[in-house]
Amino acid sequence: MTVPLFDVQTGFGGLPTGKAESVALDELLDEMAHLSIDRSLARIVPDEQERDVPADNAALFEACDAHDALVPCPVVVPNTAYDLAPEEDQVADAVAHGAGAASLRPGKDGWVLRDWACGRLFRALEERRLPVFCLERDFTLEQVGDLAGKYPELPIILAGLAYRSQRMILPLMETFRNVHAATGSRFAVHAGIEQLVQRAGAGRVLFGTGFPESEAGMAVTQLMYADLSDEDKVKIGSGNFERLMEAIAR
Amino acid sequence: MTTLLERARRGECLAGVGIIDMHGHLGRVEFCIPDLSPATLVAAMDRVGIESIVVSHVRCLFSRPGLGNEAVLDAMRAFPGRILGYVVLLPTSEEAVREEMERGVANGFVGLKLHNANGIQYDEPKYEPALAIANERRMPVLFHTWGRDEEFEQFRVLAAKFPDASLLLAHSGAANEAEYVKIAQEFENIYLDVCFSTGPRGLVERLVEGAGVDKVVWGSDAIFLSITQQVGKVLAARLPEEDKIRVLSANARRILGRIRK
Repeated sequence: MTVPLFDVQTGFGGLPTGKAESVALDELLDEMAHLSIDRSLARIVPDEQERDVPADNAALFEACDAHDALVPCPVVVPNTAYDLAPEEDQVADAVAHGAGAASLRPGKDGWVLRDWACGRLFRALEERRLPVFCLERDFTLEQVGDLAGKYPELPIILAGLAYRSQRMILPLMETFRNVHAATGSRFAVHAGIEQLVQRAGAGRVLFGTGFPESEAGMAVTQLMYADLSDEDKVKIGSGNFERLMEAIAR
Repeated sequence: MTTLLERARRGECLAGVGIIDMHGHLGRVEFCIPDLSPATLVAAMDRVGIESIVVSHVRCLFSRPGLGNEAVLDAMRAFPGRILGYVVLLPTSEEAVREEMERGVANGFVGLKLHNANGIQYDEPKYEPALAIANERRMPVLFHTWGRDEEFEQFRVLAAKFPDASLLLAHSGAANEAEYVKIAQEFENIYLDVCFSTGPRGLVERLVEGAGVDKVVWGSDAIFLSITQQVGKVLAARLPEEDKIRVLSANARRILGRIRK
């Protein structure tokens, strides 16, 4: 069967390091068509060279407004230095633009995971049940556990998982019901999706690819050839994230 | 006609394509591999439709490689024709290396796997008896690589010295991509193996274009990595169907087919 796919780890528009041209929106749309990916939770990526959050979010919203298959995942940042919109306004703006999640990059955007720095932001996100998108690159798994425990109604999407991290991902998911693991990028664990499903249930694994850095086709075959029922593949492929989106307080 | 990608997108078994995985492993490492059993690996191969995998034990990375060869031999016997073996060894002495390689050949191993993460360079003279046997028998030798300059210098020497062995450079393009292409063009007996956890977008296509489609082979690194994930980079590549089949099957078949028994 052809499983509907909603890619939660992808994007366009960022400037790859060492390149003179950004990843075009058309490249993402073309890849989605190539792999029959129905919808995508899009960010501005790669983001190593991107530094203007409000401008990036505006470009993301504009592109997503023009393409029904794209759902925005804007970056939110604590307004600790009063140089950005208040946290509640950032979250409301994201939700108003149809965001499916908000991306957090504490290291890159210069903030720390302490209540005095980001408490207002997390409370605003939790109130709206707007999932947060966290790359393992930007968080330690201890930090993810701390967040998950402190904000139990806040869905956390953990993406960019390394194949060496399974030993910590499993207890994180077994302990905290609000932690969701995305496939894609370096999640190259042999029998790894199957173990996540077995230990944490099929309801908290999400399909992601890691495009444009990674070959998106790898995540597609990893799911399609997993030792799982069709029902579980559909949940992972798109159903779980659609359920998270439906729970957002819009 | 239904394409390989269309079939993969539906999760259809690709039996009949004759896919051969030239880079596999068995054994436990420091991080969690959820299922270490050869049976689970073969079950994953069955779902994709992979005919055979050539495995070495992960003890190519660390101590007591002989234990690893024993475990691989057990798997070869349990799954004849599905699991093939590379001998792994440490260069304790020329005599010990020769004996381990001869024992492997006698037991039906089809090649040699060397790893340099243990700090031992590929031009270590004590490796030569094993390389000489591989050369004499026209066997594949799989080298772990990470695009380092000294690795390419060593491969230039080894490819010239052992021209009848097929030298497979694992993780081609992980770094220094242009140098992989260049060395594959330079030496008839050097092949590029595409296994790499992240799978940078477009790498397979660039290696095929640069080195030639007959010089690129598919390897998964399973069970160190996921075989079902790694196959996707070729199945979804922007390549003609016949090129995908060469990378996934025909090139490996040619390399294995020229082995002198």
